Order: sequence, then C-alpha cells, then structure tokens
Amino acid sequence: MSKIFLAIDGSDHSMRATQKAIELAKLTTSSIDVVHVVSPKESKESALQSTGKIDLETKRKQRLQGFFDAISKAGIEYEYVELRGEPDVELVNYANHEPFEFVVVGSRGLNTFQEFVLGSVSHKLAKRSLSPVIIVR
Amino acid sequence: MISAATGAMVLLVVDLVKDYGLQYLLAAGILAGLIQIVLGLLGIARLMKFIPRAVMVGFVNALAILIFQAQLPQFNGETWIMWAIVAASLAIILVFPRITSAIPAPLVAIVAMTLLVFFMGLETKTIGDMGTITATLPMFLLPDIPLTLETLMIILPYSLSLAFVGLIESLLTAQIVDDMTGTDSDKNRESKGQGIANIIAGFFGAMPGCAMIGQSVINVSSGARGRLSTFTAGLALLIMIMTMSNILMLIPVGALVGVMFFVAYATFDWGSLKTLKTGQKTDSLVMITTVLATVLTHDLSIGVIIGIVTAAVIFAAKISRVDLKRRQDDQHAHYEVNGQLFFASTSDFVNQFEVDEDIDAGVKEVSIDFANTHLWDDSAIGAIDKVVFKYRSVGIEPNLMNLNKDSEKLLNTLALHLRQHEANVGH
Repeated sequence: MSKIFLAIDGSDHSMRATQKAIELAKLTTSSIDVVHVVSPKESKESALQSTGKIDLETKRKQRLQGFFDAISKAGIEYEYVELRGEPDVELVNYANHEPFEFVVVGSRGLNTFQEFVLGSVSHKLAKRSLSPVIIVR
Repeated sequence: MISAATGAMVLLVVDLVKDYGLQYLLAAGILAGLIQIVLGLLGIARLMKFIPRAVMVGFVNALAILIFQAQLPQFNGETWIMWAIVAASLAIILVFPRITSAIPAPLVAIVAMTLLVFFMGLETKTIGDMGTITATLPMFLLPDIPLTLETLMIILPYSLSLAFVGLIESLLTAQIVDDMTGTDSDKNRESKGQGIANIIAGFFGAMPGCAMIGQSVINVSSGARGRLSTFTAGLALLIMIMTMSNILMLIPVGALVGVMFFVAYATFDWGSLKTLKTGQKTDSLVMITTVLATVLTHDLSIGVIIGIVTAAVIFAAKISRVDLKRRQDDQHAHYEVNGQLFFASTSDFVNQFEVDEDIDAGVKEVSIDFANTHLWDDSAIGAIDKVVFKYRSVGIEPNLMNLNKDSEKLLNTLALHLRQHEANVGH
C-alpha cells in the first residue's frame, strides 16, 4: 500500500492540509504518516504550560487529537510519527527516508514572525523533497 | 544543560554586593549551594509541582522584563552611536539566521560591531571602560568574612533566594531539555549537582549560577546530548578569557546590550499574552501579580512567593464553594451536597439548609446526600453536627447517606450528634 506524508503543527493551515491528504488517500487507497516535529520553541512553551512530563504529553496529544479523529473518521489508516529538532530539517529527512506517494503540508504554520526569520518550512520541503509536494493554502 | 551566572541570579545579589562587598556574595553562593544539596536530598522535585504554571509563566516574563530594565542604565551619558550599535546588533541577530544557522547570530553581531567600532574609531563605551578582565586562572580561596552569626543573618536571605530561584530556572530548563530530547532527567540529582557547582564556584571566587534556558536550548539544538558538551562550553569560555582578554575588552557595550535585548525577547513567554484573553481569568491574575511583584521589588523570589500565595488563596476560594440542591417528594426533603467540605466552606454549607421553610412545606423526613463531596476536617464534621441539631430541635432526624469511606470514618470518630444520639437512646 502506498503512503502519504502529512506534516502537521496543530494550526488551522495544517487542518486544511489534513483534509486534502484524506481526499488523496481515498483516491489512491493510501495510508497516511502524520508527522509532527517538536521544535525547541514548542518544547519551551509546553514545558512552561504543564506540570510535568505526563501532563505535557497528554496536552500535546489533545492538541493533535482533532487531526487523528478526522483521519480515522474518514476510514483511512494512519500512523503518528513524532520527531524532535528543527521542523524544516527533520521533515525533509523523514520525507526522503522512504518513497512517499505525496508530501502534503500547510502553506503557513503557527508563527509568521518566525517564518520571516527562519524561512518557511513548506518552502524548504518543496525545494528538497524527492516526492511530489502539495502545499495547501 | 549549560549553567552559568544568569541574569536572574545577578539581579538577586546586586544589593548584597553594593552594601557588603564581593566576599559576602561568595559566602552567600556557597551557602546557597549547601541549601540546594539539602533540597536535592529531600526530594525537591516533588515540591516543584506545587508551583502553579501561572507563577512559572510570571517568573519568566518578569525575568525578561528585569533583563531588559537592567540594560537601560548603560545608555546613561551615551551618544547616538550607542543606539546605532544596539540597533545594528539587533538587526544582525534577527536577519542573519535567514542566511545560515551554522554560526550563532549573536556571535556574528558582536564580532561585526567590535570590528566596526575598532576600525572606524567610534567613540563609545567598551567592556574595557567598565573594568578589566584579568587573564589569570581562578585560585582557590576562602571568602574573607567574619564567621559570625551576624554574617549568617546577612547572607541567609540572599542564599535562600539564590537557591530557590536557581532551582526554579534549572528545573524548568531540565524540563525543556527533557522534552527536546525525549528523555527523562533526575531533578533531585540536578539539584544536588547545581549545589555542588555553586559551592565550588564560591571557593574559586565566582558568583553562583544556574542552568540557562536560552543557552541550553542552543546547545541541544546544535546536537549536544551529553555532559561533555557543557564541559566544553565552560572550557571554551575559560580559554577565551585566558587568551583573548585584550580583544574582549574592545567589544562595544552596545553590542552586548543588543544581545541582551534579544535574550529578553526570547525569554518572554509571548504565548502567555494570547492566553490573557482566552485563558482563565484567575490564572492571568496570578501571572500578572507575579510579574508586578517581581518588577516592583526587583526580587524574583519575592515575586514567586507572592504569586504562589495569590494562587493558593484563589484556589481555596474556588474550592470552598459548596452548592446544595434541594428536592422535595411529598413530605421528604432531599439535599444533595456538591463541593468540598472543609473549614472554608462550612458556613456556606450550614446556611443553605432551610429548616423553617422545610417545616412550613410540611416536611417530615430529611435526607442529605454526600455522594458528591468529601469531608476533610473537624470543621466539616462540626457543620454537619450543627445541621443535625437544627433538625432535631424541630423533631426531624436527618438521614446522612452516601458518605465515602474516609468521610464516614472521620464522621464516626468526631461527630457529636452520634454520641448524643446514643446517649438519648440509653435513657
């Protein structure tokens, strides 16, 4: 069975990307790898907002639960992959480590200012991924 | 985790150094280290969970504001050149990561500004103007202070502040690093380690320190995973000071102020401004109280204590709400208790029983349902006694039902109405 790579960060943009990935998965009878990168910035913010490791991990799961629900409601198989590091680097590495049918990503992430400073994650994926990339607006 | 003399620690001891001198700071640092070791042995990690999240957020926000404030006196008596250097450093720090992230942007900013000032011969304050960096290896020495009770009373408050603020920042850093690497760390061991380091630092004439969030994040992001990385960071700093002290003295203060402005920006939890609007009002209140208390007193430990007290009072106020639901079937009045029963909620509980109205409504039987509550202390039992006696005075024996095990045990040991009832039966 072929696989679709879906990058999410919990934003509305990545929810739209998820809808697109579901459509594509139905058309091509693929399963989805849902990939979330825990960036240093996210680590810092979530460590501040939670009382401990267990609390932190539950809150993160809750934030992403809507995405999992959307996919399983559509009857698509998925696997959740959690990576750590800089989102652009980790996503490109993972997207290229096995042949994905498509790479689906939202056009913008959670933080516009950071994008101005660091450059856009979707842009890096489009440039460096070996599979076709779909950037969802 | 990278540990060093952080802004938070410096801010705590400014007054001590001003009033009593460097030797007292060293002694305070050594004592703070001892306190941290003891706290580590006692299992401080368990206690840290009692510091509410809102206080932690307030802590970092206040820290950011204090770091920012501490830079402002540097502008005294300076010309536009200083402002220009600060602005240019900030610009480099913000834009340079777009070109490459291989070289840290703050380093680039400092080097570029130093070169600029040196070769253009600009008139501005440099590190050399503020004091000299002596390129000698640190020596072991005992702090030169009188070993009296008076000395202890001078340094103890500072030591306690240093120990706690150092631990709060260190353990927060540990939690961030844990999440970044997906591993666990032993917070008690970390606490002991910080303590040992501070004792040794004190004997070598250095001020106490703690883990630094910003630097540790950079360290882990650069691929560091073990203790060797922190050791290397320290060694690199030592070598730099030993060999390049003449060059370091040329660094314009403006460049460092620019870097510190960025550190303040990065330290501030900007997400918390969003939650001010969306989150719970009480959490926001605790956060703002912590920030205000810290900024006004310039003391993070006072800020944290006031924050915790505020949070505790709000918590007690919230939890002391007790609601009774009354339902009447014919001659039977049924009260359902919702909320916790303890010293703060008892009068609320007693006042909600309407004995006279019950009689007017022709009630002959009363039952009180404790399924959704817990009896915590003797005040709770006293309140129940009061209610039972009130009903007995009008000839009704209330039926207390659905108590949980702990509550029932407490009731059976302490309740007066049970004993008097038995006495009555005996007659």
